[in-house]
Order: sequence, then structure tokens, then C-alpha cells
Amino acid sequence: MKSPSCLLFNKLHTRFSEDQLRPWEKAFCERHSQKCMDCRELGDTLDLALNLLKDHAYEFEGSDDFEENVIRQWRVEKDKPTVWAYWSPSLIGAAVAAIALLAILQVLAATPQTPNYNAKGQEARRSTSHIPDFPGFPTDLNTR
Amino acid sequence: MVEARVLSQSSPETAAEELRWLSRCREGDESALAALISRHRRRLVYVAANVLRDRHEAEDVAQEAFLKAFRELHKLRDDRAFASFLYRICVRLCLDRLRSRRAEPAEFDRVQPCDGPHVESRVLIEKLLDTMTPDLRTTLVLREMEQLSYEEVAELMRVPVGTVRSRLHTARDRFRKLYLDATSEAR
Repeated sequence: MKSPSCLLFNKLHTRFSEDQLRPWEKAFCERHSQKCMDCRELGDTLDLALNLLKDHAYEFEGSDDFEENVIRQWRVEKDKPTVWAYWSPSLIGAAVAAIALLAILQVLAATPQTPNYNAKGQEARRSTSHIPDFPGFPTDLNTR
Repeated sequence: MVEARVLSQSSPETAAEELRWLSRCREGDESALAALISRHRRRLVYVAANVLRDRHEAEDVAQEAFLKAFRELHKLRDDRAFASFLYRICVRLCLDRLRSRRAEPAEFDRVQPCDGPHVESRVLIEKLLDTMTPDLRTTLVLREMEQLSYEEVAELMRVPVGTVRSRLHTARDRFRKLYLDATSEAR
């Protein structure tokens, strides 16, 4: 199993190469890598791997028509109608139709006013005009 | 070789010129648009190519990043931050691509011209990077290949500097182990 100082070196060594360590950490790493062969190898392998990575950086600048492509796409996007511009004729048509429908409904609903039969102080009265006059029979049925 | 810093501002004249281009861009001036593209295009394609390890995809992403940046220019509060705004979009698009292609088998970009012993080590690098998660891979590439500072990586990836530090530690350690495994297998 690794010693505590190897574990500490493991924790610090990834920042060792770029001077991100405090002075005591740096001194510890230097001292430890001189003493411990495994840890020195570990540091060397990391340097090797990272150098390989840096050596294989892409140096590709893009194709010659890069700018043209971007500008062409930009023009296409700019000229493309927006959602509002695309739907506005339909929306305006729908709004006009809705207003017209409401107006028609208003006109149809405005019928002549019906008389109010429940006016206060009045009551329904039965017609007695068709009843013949009999002696002793009350002519006014409503007063019974 | 690549420039040392991506996001830090260049000379005051260049910065002022860029501000003028941006305001002309908002008015729909295509020549200002072209000027901005030609200023940032090289660097943006580098970043995308190194993160994605595929030049065709890198070019697509860089173009998409420019278009998105121009489309969302109204969201940019400080014009001086245009570079970081643009590169942030590019890194986000790269991460999206990496996440969506993770399930697919690793493929070596055969278009990249290289010959001799370099081919083997390039294939090795592609293979090692492909086995890493998109976040670790991007952090490692931005720091090691693009030479960005911790703060710049944090800004581009929209994470705290502490997260960059810990991701970088994990990424380097994993890369070293993968490299060791791969080279000992080859022996």
C-alpha cells in the first residue's frame, strides 16, 4: 500500500508542472520524487502523456469559404419570415371574423322588449265575458 | 503555434475596432459581420477541433457558434465581452456534440493529414480522449492545448474555478492512467 507521503504526492503532482503549488507543496514534491521511484515515474508519465497531447493539437483553420458560408446562412436566417409575419394574415382574418360574429350575435339578441306581466299592484284576472248571466249566480268570479 | 490567450483583450485599438464592428453588426452591416468572423474564426475552429478531434464537425460547430452569437447579440450586455460570449457558445455546442456522440464508437478523423510515427500517437490520443467524459475532456483540452487560465476555463464552461481545479486533477490523472495502460498494452 502507498505511504501517506505518496498519497499526498498523488494529490499534488497534477498541479506540480504548472507552478500551481504553494512553496511547501512544491518543495515536498521535489523531495519526494527524488526519494520515491514510483512517484517519480508517475510524474514523468503524466508529463509524457500531456506533452503528447499538446504535440497533437489541431492546426486546422477551417475551409476557405468559411466566412462566405456563415454570411450566407445569416442572410437566409435574416430573410426567413418570423413567426408573427408568417401567421399575421391568418390572425388578422380570425380577429375580423370574431368581431363580425359578435356583432351579428348582438343584433340577433336585440329583440323588441316583451311586456312585463308581473308589474307590481296587478294580478291575473280571469275573463268572464263568455259566462251568461244567471240569476243568483255571481257574475264576477274573481271576487269569490 | 496557437496564441496563449483566447479571452483576454488585445490592444485598445483592436478592442475599440471590435466595439465599432459590433454596433454596425446590430444595424445589419454584413461587412462588420465578416470582419468579426475573420478575427475570431481561426481561434474558434482551433478550439472546436481540439475538443471534438474532428475537423468537419469543428467547422460546423464554429459556424453554428457565429450564427448563434449574431442571433443572440441583443443578449450581450457588455460588448467588450464578445469574445468570451462567442467562445462560451462554441464550447457549449462542442459539449452538446460530445454528449450526443458518446454512444457511438470512437472514430479516428482520417482527414487530418499526418504521417509516419505521428499517426500512431494521434490515434492513441483520439482513443484516450474518447474514453473520457465530455466535461473532463473539454477541461483538459482547454487547459493543456489551448493554454487557457483556470479562470478562463471556468468562464467558458460556466463552472466555478474550484470545479475546474478538481476536474483538471481528475482529467490529468485519468489521462495518465489511460496512457500508461495503452502504452503497456502496446509493448
